[in-house]
Amino acid sequence: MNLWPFVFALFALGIFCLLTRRNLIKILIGLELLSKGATLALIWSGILRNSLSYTQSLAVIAIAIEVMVVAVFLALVYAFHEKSSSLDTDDMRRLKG
Amino acid sequence: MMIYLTLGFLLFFALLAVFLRDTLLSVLSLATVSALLSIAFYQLNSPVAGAFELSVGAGLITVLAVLTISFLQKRKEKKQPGAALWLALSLALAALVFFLFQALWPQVLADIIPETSWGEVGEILWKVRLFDLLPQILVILAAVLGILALLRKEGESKER
Repeated sequence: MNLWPFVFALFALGIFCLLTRRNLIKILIGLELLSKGATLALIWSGILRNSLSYTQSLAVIAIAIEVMVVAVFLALVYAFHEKSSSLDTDDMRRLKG
Repeated sequence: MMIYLTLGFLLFFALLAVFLRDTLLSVLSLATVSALLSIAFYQLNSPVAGAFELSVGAGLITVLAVLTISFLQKRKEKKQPGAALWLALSLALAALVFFLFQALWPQVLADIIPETSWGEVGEILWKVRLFDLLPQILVILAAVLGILALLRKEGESKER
């Protein structure tokens, strides 16, 4: 059994989404796919190293931090939309000083 | 192997989340990805991570994202009833295939994966990892303060 191809496929999809999409919600989805790949990698490496309990505790904290990242990102999206009425990353260039 | 089926469907719904044009449907596909990932964690004998992923990844994050979209969205993009139907049909098909595989091959867990318990993970979290757990709680508090600062209306500070 080998789950690394799935981990790398999730990473690839997340990076593709981050690099090619302009909608901020889509960028959030790319970020989420990356972090899900990282969590799967943690659990799989725990199985390979026979330390599943330890990597589960790491995964639990990773998931909690992931939620905070999503919450802050969504607050940023909301604040940006209040200023510019847009969710397009191209419009963020206006924020440059 | 059941785990390959779960992760195959996970990748399919991840592709849908990336390529669907409607953001709401994308977020719902992402929720499905989280639910499938939690099923995969259960199959890999990791119930604690599975429960967290299901409640937080498929639940809380989806609620936050859908709420934000409904606050902001004027539905500029064209509605895709066809895409919504395909998403629902894909979910139903995935559930059917899972049911059939489970009925035909009930032995799903590999014997090589070690057993873990909730108590064991909790003990590691509160005893072994206490040193980095406390700073991470501080990070979460800092994030809460950041969200409050970002969502503060401009008029509020002037009124005071």
